[in-house]
Amino acid sequence: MLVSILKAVGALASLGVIAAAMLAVAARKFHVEVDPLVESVASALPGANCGACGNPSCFAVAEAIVAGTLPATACVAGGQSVAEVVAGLIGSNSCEVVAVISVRHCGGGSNAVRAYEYGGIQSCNGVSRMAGGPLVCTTGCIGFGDCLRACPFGAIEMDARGLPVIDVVKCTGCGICVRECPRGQISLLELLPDAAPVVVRCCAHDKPKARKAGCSMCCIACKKCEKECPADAIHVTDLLAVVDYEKCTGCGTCVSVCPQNCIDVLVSTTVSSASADGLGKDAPGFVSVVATASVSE
Amino acid sequence: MSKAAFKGGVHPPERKEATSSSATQWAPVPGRLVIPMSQHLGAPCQPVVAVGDRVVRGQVVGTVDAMVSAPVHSPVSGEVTAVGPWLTAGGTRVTSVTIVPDAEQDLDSFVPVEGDDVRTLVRAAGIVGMGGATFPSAVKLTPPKGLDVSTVILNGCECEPFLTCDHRLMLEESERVVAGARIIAETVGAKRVVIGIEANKPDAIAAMQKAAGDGVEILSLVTRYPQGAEKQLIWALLRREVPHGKLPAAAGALVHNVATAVAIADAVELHKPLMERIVTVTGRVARPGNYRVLLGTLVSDLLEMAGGIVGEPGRVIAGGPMTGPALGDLDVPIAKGSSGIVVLSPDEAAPLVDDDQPCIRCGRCTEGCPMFLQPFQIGTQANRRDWTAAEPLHPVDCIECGVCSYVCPTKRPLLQLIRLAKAAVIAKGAKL
Repeated sequence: MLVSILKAVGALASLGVIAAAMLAVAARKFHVEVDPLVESVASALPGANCGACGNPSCFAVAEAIVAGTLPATACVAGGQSVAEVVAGLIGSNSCEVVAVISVRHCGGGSNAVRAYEYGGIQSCNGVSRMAGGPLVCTTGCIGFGDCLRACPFGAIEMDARGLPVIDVVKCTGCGICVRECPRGQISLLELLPDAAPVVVRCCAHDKPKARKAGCSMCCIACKKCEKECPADAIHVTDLLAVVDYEKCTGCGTCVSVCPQNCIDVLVSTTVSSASADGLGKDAPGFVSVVATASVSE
Repeated sequence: MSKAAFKGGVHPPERKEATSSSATQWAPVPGRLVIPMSQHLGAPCQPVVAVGDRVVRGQVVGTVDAMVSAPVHSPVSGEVTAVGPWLTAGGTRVTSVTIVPDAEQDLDSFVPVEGDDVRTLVRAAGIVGMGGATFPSAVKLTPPKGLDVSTVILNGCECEPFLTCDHRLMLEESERVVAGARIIAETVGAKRVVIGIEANKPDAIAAMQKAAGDGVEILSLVTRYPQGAEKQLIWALLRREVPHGKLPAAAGALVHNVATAVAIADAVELHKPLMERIVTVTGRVARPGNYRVLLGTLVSDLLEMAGGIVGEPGRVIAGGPMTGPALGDLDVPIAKGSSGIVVLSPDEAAPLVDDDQPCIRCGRCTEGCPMFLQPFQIGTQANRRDWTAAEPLHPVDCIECGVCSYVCPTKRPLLQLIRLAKAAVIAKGAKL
């Protein structure tokens, strides 16, 4: 009994020794020289291999940065901080990154009217192929969360309304969700400057009456925001309120006057963007700048 | 009698008995017609009429210069009351011309199309593949240079359950079918004409054999879905395989539907544009039958003409139940490719399922796939959204017949998953 146990232990141990010797030889013989600079750049990159920059992996980007074929700002997801570290490593000065975040231009969710009863794969891209999507609204969020599954940074969560809420802190602006979204082309999801103070939760361009029949939360192109904006930064273009972020001061007037509550605070010191999503002027912490707006109406 | 067939496929209950013996009758002229500007594959037409215009039967209401396209004509004399987007059976909103017909209609007269040769006439008449694919026929009559089309095949299979419009057409207008076949063969220089008909239509086979004459062969085919799919039909009749990513012309064949052949004969011999088609209205309706319907008639009006829906409707399907989309709204127009309207009761309609169904590896989808794909594998990769792994499984070769979804015992939405993979692989730049 004892002998057979010892035999087995001995056999496995000697196998281990032989394999270790082979590995030791192979490690010497097949050693690949890697530029230590590439390795340090690679370790400075996020390492998520998200693919947002269009390259196959972070290591491939590191090689290209060291070789000079890609700039220090090549990492889309890493943003300014990564670009600075990379620029320091390779001794480059130019590392100005235009930081963006992804936002959702829709407040519909469970408020959007369904065009038909659907059974099938729970994917926005899948259902989009069936009669243009399950909603009467042809631009609104379908809500199966293809963006959430595609996000390499876990920045998207579905809320109770069935809408994806994008965490502005976690979002790196890589744009993968915009490309994955079947309605990303018509700016349901869009990359905005990362300091964008407000966001219009609608992206429809059809006639407001038809739009209202499909969703109670839409922009109705009433132009109240346009009239009240002190900075001339929001305009109803093509039947939809559009913010000019070059001019927007983030005063919150448009949020206060919107009768549809379809303009949300996005980045603010007093209001957290996740709790403001879909609430407009009713968001906790938001102080209406035109308190009398609803009364004088 | 030949028993030619392809490999794979299924034989769903035919359910054709309700309409196969009822002669085609004219559907009454409805109160309004909605003519979509895109009833074909290819570039949509631009409307050439405006609100308030008077139109006469056969007048062009929409046209475009693109090579792959087909003009649309007014099937009635009347007044244009609206031009704007309208929901179609495919679910997209297409610019459409609404026409309110005059009280008096002369359906025997029309504005003739002009042209000297077959291709010009077929193009001007707006003829598209009437089996449902709606590919412009004039383009198909111009095979690519260097390819020799030796055989013209007419598709009289009608392998979809419920539908009998092609069956009735072959019975009632056998001579016109043959005339169309001869015109097509002459235009493309084919020596042989074969008309393939499934064996479940012995009366149509007999009628066609009587009308055929010299140089036109009528072949009986095994009754199995999708026998009427282009590549499967070519294999069954000629034992030739269409190479991956190539046109049927590469196998020396050109396939047209029998209804398209009749439309081509009408266009060439009578200079008649495509303004009406036979539609099978069947299932849970009071008077199921085959109706000669003016294009642009709304499905709701057509169901009314057929006596209305009986009982609680479960699902209303545009086309055959294997490939046709269920309608979310009945106010969609009958278009050039609409072969049928099938009303199913709630019990008959397949239950709605989501994608949580597990694959039990029974292999029925693989046995059934007429393109020899492995639908369960493509479905699994599509569920993972792994398009790199899906690509070598050739989802782009899928003909979207729906056999895999039909036979799956756990009711996985396989076809939908394959469509997703197909689109993603094409987007990646794979060759079709």
